[in-house]
Amino acid sequence: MGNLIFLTGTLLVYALAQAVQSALGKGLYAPGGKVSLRKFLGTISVLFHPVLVSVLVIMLILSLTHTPYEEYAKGTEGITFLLAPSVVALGVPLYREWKRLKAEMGRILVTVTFGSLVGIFSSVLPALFWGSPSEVIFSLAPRSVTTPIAMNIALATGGIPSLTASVVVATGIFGAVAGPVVLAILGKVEGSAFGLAMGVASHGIGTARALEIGMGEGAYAALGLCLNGVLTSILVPGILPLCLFPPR
Amino acid sequence: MNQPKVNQPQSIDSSRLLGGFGVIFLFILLGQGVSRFFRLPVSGSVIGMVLLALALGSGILPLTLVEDASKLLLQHLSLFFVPAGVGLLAYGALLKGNWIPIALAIVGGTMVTQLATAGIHLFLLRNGRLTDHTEEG
Repeated sequence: MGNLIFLTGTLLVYALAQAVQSALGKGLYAPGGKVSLRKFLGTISVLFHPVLVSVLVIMLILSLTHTPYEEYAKGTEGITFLLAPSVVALGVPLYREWKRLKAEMGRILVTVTFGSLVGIFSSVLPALFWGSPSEVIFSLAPRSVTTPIAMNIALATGGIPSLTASVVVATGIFGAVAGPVVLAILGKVEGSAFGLAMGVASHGIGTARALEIGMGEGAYAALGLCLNGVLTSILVPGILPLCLFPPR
Repeated sequence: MNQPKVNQPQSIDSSRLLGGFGVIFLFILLGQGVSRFFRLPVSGSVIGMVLLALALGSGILPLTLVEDASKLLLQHLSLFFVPAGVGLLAYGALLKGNWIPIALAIVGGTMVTQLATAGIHLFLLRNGRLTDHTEEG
């Protein structure tokens, strides 16, 4: 069970981070048209994602107190345990939006296949040009899919599963925080395009962010996460070794 | 304690909540079973998600049974990633030497993937509608 202080601490830090974000977010609706600090903080409140803030704060506390991560991980097993049922629970928004999703399935499949390929190659190309060893390249390849799937792929292709796990989580946090800002480059991105982009590029954490925007966005993100998980499981072991190290 | 009764939100039914959790755990088990039996590289919980959607869609499983439990889990989905995120701390040594391409993959790769996914989907949406020729590119 581990030390209860880690579980309590994580819950408190997270609740605090959530409160901070919503307090900052209120600045968006500050009265008056003038540029004010409150308004500015409201605009950047999206960057104060509770996961990002909590992770950084807890990292800081652990390093200041010289607490090994293993001890913390053991104490917070109860929280991590809830990941698997949460993924299953995504079946509910998926079912709710099913009629709409079914009619669009052809388009969704094209989008997710393209997004999956871009995800894989954008993960391995920097490492390839850098001359990283192949175990690093294969640890990065499944970066865009949810942790358990990504670790399976890394294990099957000769990557380092623990490295994959941390890169996957970093991807999710970055994607969830930056996603809405990055996607604004394309203009007004909403609904299906927004949900799919979040689910395909930043798996569960991106899906959680999409759910905050709306049930519909969340359903598209869940479908993107799911289809990308299946596709990446096939594409990385199937074609990546041939692309990177063609048989002579 | 004689406190005046406040109107409880109707949607929370604790026995249904417990039942819902039971059903969700059952679908993890089912997903794991399917994953092992067919030797699929996809994790049990992702298969469980698809099976749950199918069970709801076919009417085998009433939505009311899992609605509350799934709502509770999904509302706090972000929280469950926190311990794994802190895990980045433990793999600092692994990142050494290759941190530049890894950071490029995380930051650049994620942005490129998001833009590519949303971009192609917007493109398909626009070109699917043949009446709308004005807003391409």
